Order: sequence, then structure tokens, then C-alpha cells
Amino acid sequence: MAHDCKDCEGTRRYGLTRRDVLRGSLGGFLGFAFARQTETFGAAMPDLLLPQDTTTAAKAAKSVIVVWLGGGPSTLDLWDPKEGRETGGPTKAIETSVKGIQYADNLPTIAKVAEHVSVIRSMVSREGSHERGRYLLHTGYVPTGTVVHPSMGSISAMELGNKKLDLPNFISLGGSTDGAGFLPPEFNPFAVDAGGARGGGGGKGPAAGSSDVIKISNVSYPNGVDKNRFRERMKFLQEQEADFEKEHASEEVTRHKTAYEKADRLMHTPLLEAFDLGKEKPELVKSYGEGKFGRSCMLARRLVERGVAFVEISLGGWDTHQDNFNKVSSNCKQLDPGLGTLIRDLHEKRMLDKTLIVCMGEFGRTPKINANNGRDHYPRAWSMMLAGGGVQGGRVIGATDKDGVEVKERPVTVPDLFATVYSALGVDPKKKNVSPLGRPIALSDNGVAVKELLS
Amino acid sequence: MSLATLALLILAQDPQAAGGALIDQQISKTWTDAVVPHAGPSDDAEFLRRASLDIVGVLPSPDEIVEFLKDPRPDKRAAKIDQLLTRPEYAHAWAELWEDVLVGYDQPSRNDSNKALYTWLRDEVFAKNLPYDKMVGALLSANGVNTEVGAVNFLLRLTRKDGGGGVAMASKASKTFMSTQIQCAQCHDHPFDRFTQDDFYGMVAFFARTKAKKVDNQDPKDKRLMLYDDTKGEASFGEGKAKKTVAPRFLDEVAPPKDLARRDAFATLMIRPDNPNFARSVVNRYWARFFGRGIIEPIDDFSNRFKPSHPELLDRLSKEFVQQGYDTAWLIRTIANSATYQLSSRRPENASADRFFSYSATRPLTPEQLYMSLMGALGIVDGEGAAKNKGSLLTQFRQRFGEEETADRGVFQGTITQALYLMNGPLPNGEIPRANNKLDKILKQFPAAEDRVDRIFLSVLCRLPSARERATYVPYVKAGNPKKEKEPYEDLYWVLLNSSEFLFNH
Repeated sequence: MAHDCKDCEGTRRYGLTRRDVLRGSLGGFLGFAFARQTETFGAAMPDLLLPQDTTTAAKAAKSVIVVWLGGGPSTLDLWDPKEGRETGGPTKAIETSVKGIQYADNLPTIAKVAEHVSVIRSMVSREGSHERGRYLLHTGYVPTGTVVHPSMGSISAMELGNKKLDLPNFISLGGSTDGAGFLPPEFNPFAVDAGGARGGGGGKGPAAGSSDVIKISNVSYPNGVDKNRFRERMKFLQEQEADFEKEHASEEVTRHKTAYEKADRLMHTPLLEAFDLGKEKPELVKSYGEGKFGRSCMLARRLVERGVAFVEISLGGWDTHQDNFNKVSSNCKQLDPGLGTLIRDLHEKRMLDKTLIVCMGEFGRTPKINANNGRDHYPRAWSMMLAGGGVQGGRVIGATDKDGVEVKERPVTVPDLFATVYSALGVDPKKKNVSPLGRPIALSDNGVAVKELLS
Repeated sequence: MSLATLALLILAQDPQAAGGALIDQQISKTWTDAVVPHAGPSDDAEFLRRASLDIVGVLPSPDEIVEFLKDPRPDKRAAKIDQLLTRPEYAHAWAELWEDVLVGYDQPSRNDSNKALYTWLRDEVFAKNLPYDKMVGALLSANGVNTEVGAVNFLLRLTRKDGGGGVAMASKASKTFMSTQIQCAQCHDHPFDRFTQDDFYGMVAFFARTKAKKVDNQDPKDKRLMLYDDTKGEASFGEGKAKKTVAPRFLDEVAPPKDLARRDAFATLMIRPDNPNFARSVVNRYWARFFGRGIIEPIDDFSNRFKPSHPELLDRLSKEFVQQGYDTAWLIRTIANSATYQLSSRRPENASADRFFSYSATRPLTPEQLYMSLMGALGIVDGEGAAKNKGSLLTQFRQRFGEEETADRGVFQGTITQALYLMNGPLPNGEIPRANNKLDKILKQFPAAEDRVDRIFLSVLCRLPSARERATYVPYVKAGNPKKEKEPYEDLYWVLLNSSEFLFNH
């Protein structure tokens, strides 16, 4: 039975708090800065560069959209149906646009664009607790307690992000997510609540005529303050800060300065119109789905269109220990149109090649159906989905046995997955960043990219 | 050589140094050893703001600052520290801090259980200076109804319907009161410390009978719960033939006193003087509160991987704390009166941070301190304006500016979200122009522009403006549109409230 320390959850956060790590040793930061500046750190280790594992720059994806299915989705009822077997439950298999590949009947829209989609059916891991599984699938590393690893989003922001972009390079729709770890806080996610004013999302009532604008809190001037007044205030503030910094230079003060500069830029960028979904055709909005998830998917497309490097969308409710089949079906009424339309829309706009889409949760769920008609945590064999970003579509990698209990062919570990993702981005998965304790930590934990997915 | 340095050098020779002298001796020893430059003493305004924030969690008022600056007594700082310890804000701030440590940022933050716990901490523990060992003893062994016996609420929220709450209780108690993390030994022998599963379940066994039940099963409206110990219940692990039941056994294998109920035994073993990590943990925690960093970091994990920066200091100060009867007011007084605590935060050139405590750190405010600072600076009274719904506002602050693991210290990640909140959010911006707030009162009380600027600086930054600041702001406020007299003063308020100097403790 898989290791499942359910009761370890939440009682310890990996030994070091963010604060400890951020305050780390200045030496660590300098080491990191040095590695970044010179980029010779990689050259010091001759086995780092393996061209055949890394997508060449020309083909590399420019952005990543992660659809995070929090709770651990039952992938036997999504990507790897077992119709006719006891472990398949009532879920039926349906044909997709690719001959010979079937998905579960919960995903009809995505099935229609299967030629752009690849599914890995042979994911294996050992982390069966929500907190540890979440950490593993966000950072590619098992939590160790000695260091907080940077997440895929932060690495992407660092490697792909355009520093001149006035929008944050790592945006999280629907709450906070794993961030920069020991990397500088500028690579932390910026959280936006994409809750819509219409229907499903929640959030306050819309301002007149602006129900399609997704609100970022506090991005407009306060009442009674106009641009001139704002500028005057900022000028004085900068003088105060310069004075204080003379004798109080510290990480905190530097972070304050950076945060205010970025906030100022965000407030004034014309790119904020990305958040106005009213500019889109109503039929397209409808195809994505008018709930929070659908709107998030559409917003994600608009954000990557404007150069944002990494967007994470969150759809929860997958921890189906009870009533698995109804809950999955209900969740898929959001997931399927949102994700399916996103893939189609990106393809039609000729953006799919440059946008990598990753859809996964922290683990899968048991083939055995429990007494509550549910499935429990199961990291031993599960599936996830990749699309776009130069990843070959229309494929299935690996396979489970006929009941979904074990991986039968071509197991893929989470580090392997991360190596694949970074390779698709044109980034060497063996590249190392230096932790505050002076340890070089590679982007992928000794993973090997799945070559069959990269051309 | 300054008087202060001379004094420190003299102190360095004294092997009997105790209390604040011990602190100064041990800290300054490392400066000479490592040739570390150190700051000079703080000025009075600097000291007053810092001590107020650390001891009572609020900013000093302008009148208080002016009076303190004028006070000619050489021992005025010691007198101020004593006075702060008697203010009602003291008991409130430390009750709130310990509530966060004990039960986390539970939502809703003011439910009946938490209210009772907070009230007990405030009125019975901190207002009466209950010794720390008695406080922990109560938290571990109390029985009773959650709304009547505040102390039960620490363990109550960890109980489980299936009786398996012992795991969480043992883990949390160990981490909070001994800085010893055992919970990874639940499923297998601890991966990076010395505890085995037997050790872990030996600790769990003390709590294996601790449960909660409704006080009145007949009345659905009566939500009260009672913490009690059942007559049966054991701690065990493993499946089938490998299942093992473990008798109560403390980590250092000292036998539990006979004739005591399990939890009473645990409490006795936890708080005994020869459980060294008990005193060290809290002394280190208080140190971290006052210096921004513990002698050991992280403060809740004393495993072998992390070494104390000043091991002799921690050991000797902890022993003295025990000898003083676990008196936390004594501990605060001792730390706050030390020359080390009262160093300036003005960094000498080439001084390195952290390890040497050679200058006072510029460190983030806790969400509670930030909240109270904004309230104080803006003159907002509880229940009015932005503070009308204090619970939810404070919750927002905790979400935006806090991190539960370091609840008794602050974390300023410097995110864009935080910056936007302060620049444009309803607090402070809705409050700055509001009628009858502090700014309004200043304008009414002081007609001259120079006095008004002084007073605003005192209200927000707790000091008088420098010559440069006066030269910048006095002409600015005078040059405003006479019909909108308040506006330039609002601008000044905004500038100071958004500054690092306001947002950090230093």
C-alpha cells in the first residue's frame, strides 16, 4: 500500500520558513547572483549540457499554463478509463479525434482536440499526502526540510520572463501557490481571484458595465487621488526611502523598494486590459464556460498573449474519498469545456506551439472503489496531460495494467516530468541554482526528459 | 573608545554575570573575537518605538514621545520598560501572540473556544504574570468545558472523533514547548533526527485517552464542548500481527510519575527543570521576538542540524529563567534593559547581519503590530470606520502580511499584493481623509504648519522630522490650495505610512 502520512500534513512546513530561507546567508544570495550573472556555473560541470535532451531555442515554448486539479484527481475517470473492469466503475470510454486513443466520457470536448494532447498514463510517485504531493508536483522535489525549492512557476518566470514586462511574470488565478522558495521574491506568484460577477464565480456585484472585467484588488488610485497627486506622493516616498536606506540597508528594505516599483508599473500598464473579458466574442466566452474556471482559462490565454511567462489556474474539489463518480462528473463540467476550449482557442490563434499546457494534480486515486463509492489517494500509478509548447500531440506515453493498479510500461517519475517540461521550454533541466546553504540544486531532481514527447 | 564600549569590556571579564549583564557579556565577546563592528546605542525615540512595539504591540503616542524625550532621569528607560509591563495592552498583546502560537490563525478568529483561551491568557496569565511553567502545565492538563476553562482549548481543537487526536497533540506540544519535532517519526523512524516510531508513540500514549464531547447532547443549539480523559485508549501502530501498543514514555525515557493521570504526568515531565529544552525553547522564542531572530533558528526545531549562535548564553539565560521561577516579565525586563537590545539599528559599515547581534535588526512587524500601528497612526478607534469589523480586518492582515509558522514575528515578503494594499487599499487610504481622525485633530489643535508637520511625524514615525524633512514638507503644505487645506497633509500621511521606516521595526 502506498506510503500515506495523512497525519503529517500541516504540522510541519519543511523545517525552514520562507523567512528563514529568504534571510538565508547573504553568501547564498551572492552565490546565486554570481551564477546568474556569469552563467559559467553550468560550464563548470561538463556533463550539464546534453543538447539532445533540450529543445532548441527556436522551437522552445514561451509560456506555460498549468491547470492544477487540487485534491488529487481520479485519473482513471479522466485519461485512463477501464470500462468493463470492476476498477473502472461506471465510467465509460469514448473515442477521441485520434484513432486508437480513448479518454473517459467525462472529457468530450478535450477528446475532440486529442491530436494536440498527450497523456502520460504511467506517472509514479511515493508521496500520498496532500501537502507533500502538492510540493512535489509544484517543485519537482520531495520536501526535505533543509531547503524550500522554487516552483515550476518561479523557475519559468526566471528563465522565460521578460523583465521589462509590466505584468507579473508568474500569475496565479484562484489563490496563492508555491513560489520562489530560495530564489529572490521577485519570482513569487502574483495572485488574482478570477471569480466572475456572472454566475458560478462568486465575488462582489459588478460595477456598472464592467461585469466582464476581472478585478485585481487595489490597482486603482484611492478616492480623491489623481495621477498628479500620486506622482507627487511617490516622489516624496522615494526620498524618504533613500534616506532610510542609507543607514538601514537590509533585505527587507530592498524588497519593499522592489515591490513598490513593480506595483507602480502594474497600476499604470496598458496591459491591464488583459483582464477585460468583455473584449472577447460572447460565444467564445460561453465555450470556455462562464464560471470561475472557464473565465480563468480565457484570462490565461489573454495573459500569455501579452507575454506573461507562467499562469497557474486552480480547479479544486478532486479529493473524492466519497461519491467519486458524481463529483468527478460534476467537476468535469467545468474542466472539460474550459481546458478543451483553451487548447482549441490557442491552436486557432496559432499560439499553441509556443504555449505549454500542463494538467495534473498531486497524485491519482485508487483503482479499488471504497465503501463510500469513492477512491482514495494513489500515487503509485496515475495520469497527467500535456499539450502544446512543442510537445508532440496525439500520443499516449506508458500504460497501466488492465485494472489500473500498476504501471506496466514506461514509468515516468515527477522529476522526469519536470525535465520534460523544462526541455520543452528550452531550459536545461540539469542547470543549477545555489541554495542559501550553498548547495547547487538542479531544476530537475535527476529526471530524464521523455524523449518521445519532444521532437 | 565610547563609554558603552568601555563598560562592555569591563563586563566581559565577569564570570558571574547574570541577567542583562550576561547577555551583553556573551554577545560582545563574539564581537571582539571576530572583530565585528557594532552600532552605538539607540537614541531615545528609536528606543521608545521599538520597546513599545515589542512589549505592548502598539506605537507610543505623540504626547508620550515628547514627554519621554524631555525626561531627564538617567534610568528613564528602565522605568519605561516597567511601565509598559503594567499597561493593559501588554496582557492583550501577549495573549494574542500566544493564541496565535497555540491555535494558529483559526477561522473564524474569534469563535467561542478561541475567545475563552484568549481571555484566560490575558486575564489569568499575563495580567497576573503567571509563571510560564504553570501556564504550560495548565494548557496540557486542564479538563472542562471550552467556554469556561480557557486552557482546554489548546488540546480541544486537536481532538478527533475516532480518538486519534493524540498524534496531533503530542506533536504540537513537543514542537511548541520543547522545539522538538517528532511527527515525522509517526510513519517510520524519523528521517533526519534520532526518534524512532516507539519514541513517537510513547509520547502519543499520554494523550491516547483525551477526547471531547458535547456538553448537552439534547440541545442542538448548545455548541459547548468538554475536554476529558477516557478510562480506556492506547497508542499503537502497525497492522495485524505487527501491531504494537506503546505505553506512555517521555522522549528522554524518564519514567512517568506513578499515580498521575496520563496527561498530568506528561505536563509534569514537560515542565521539570531538567527537561532543558523546555526553558530553552521559550527563552529562545522571547529572544526572537525582541531581536528578530532566535539564538537558534528555526525556533521550533532544536534538532542537531541547526546550531545556536551563542550556546553558552542560551544555556545560562535559560537556567537563570528557571531560577527566577519561569517569570516571563523578568525575562522581558532582562532582555529589554540590556545594552544589546538597546543598540541602534543604524548599521555600521561592513557589519554583517544576524549572527552577531551587533546592531538592532530592521525587521518586519507582525500582522497584529502592523494593524495596531495603522490604527494608532490614523487615530482609528475600535468599532469605527475601517475598524468597524475588526475581526475580519485583522484576518485580512494575517492573510496578507502574516505567516502562521512565525506568528510571533512578522514576515514581509515584499509582494506586489502587499504594496498595492498599502498604496491604494481601503486601509489606510479610506482612513486618511476621514473626518475626526488623528489628522483632523492635529489640524484643529495646531494652527502652525511647522507644528503640524512635527505632529504628523510623531504620530506616524514616532520621531520629529529632520532638517531636510522640514525643509521639504513645510513649504509643500503651505503651498497647497487654501480651499483644500487638508490635502497636502493627507499626502504627507500617505508617504510616511507607506515608508519602510513605518512598516518595519528597528
